Amino acid sequence: MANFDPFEKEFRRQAGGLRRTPASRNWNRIERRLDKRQGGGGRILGIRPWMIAALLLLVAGTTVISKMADDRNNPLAQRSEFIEELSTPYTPMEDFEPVEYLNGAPDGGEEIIQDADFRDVVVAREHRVNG
Amino acid sequence: MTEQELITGCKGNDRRAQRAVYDRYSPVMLAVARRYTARDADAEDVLVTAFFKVFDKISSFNEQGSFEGWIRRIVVNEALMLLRKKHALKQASELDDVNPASFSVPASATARLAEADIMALLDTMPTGYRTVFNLYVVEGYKHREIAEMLSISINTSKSQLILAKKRMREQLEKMGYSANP
Repeated sequence: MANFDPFEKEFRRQAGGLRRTPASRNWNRIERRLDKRQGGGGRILGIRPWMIAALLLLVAGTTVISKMADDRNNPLAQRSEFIEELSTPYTPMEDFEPVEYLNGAPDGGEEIIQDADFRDVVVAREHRVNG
Repeated sequence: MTEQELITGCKGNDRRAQRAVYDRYSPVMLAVARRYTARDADAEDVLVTAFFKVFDKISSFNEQGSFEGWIRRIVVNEALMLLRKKHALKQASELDDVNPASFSVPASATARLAEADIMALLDTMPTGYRTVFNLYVVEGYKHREIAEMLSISINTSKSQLILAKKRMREQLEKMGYSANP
């Protein structure tokens, strides 16, 4: 500590007791700067956290979409099939009902409405339409 | 809140603790800043920058010294930075063969000094005188430390102080403060 003469000691005492009331806007300025610092957030390896979050979201989205495309049971995935894939083995629907026509073809013939309950009943010769 | 609670709160970015620290120390620190700067607006700029730095660098306060002293050092440093930015510290002269006693100021005059007159006295001094006078007389820095802080020689620091005291004595007489009450 320096050696003070009496004047210096007295001046120091007087000046040390000085007070000034700051304007309220000064605290607002400090608070804004603090908010900006906190809002800006820290950086991880020089990258902002929101950038990392966006990248993770993008990767997650891509993964989900590719997984959906791979899923054969998913209707969305089936719709995106190419024409070349039509040669894949046909799998009949479980509730398929075969339709029978009078003249053998759908355009020229009349559809025979058969009751499933009488499908196995043998029709007598005199009652048959085509001999 | 105790000072320890305030420090802990500030370290945890607690806005209420930061506000409490500001409310407690800003009047003193604004007066400190104003002693260095010639304008009120500059002093307020220093105050804002300094308190932001206090809260931003609070983790570096090791809690061994005085918290108020730590804040005061930041305020003084910010004030000096502002003066450097404004190139206000460039003009400094050295005196040779000066007897400091011839520029001494009677203590009795200062004892009766009003607060407003202290500020007025400092405002009449050139920036270099005022800065060295504040650092040496009020803050208690040594000439070697002042020389480092202001990037001047030790002799320049001493010269500035002597000239500041000479100017102060003249001003005190002008303001009606004589050596004998």
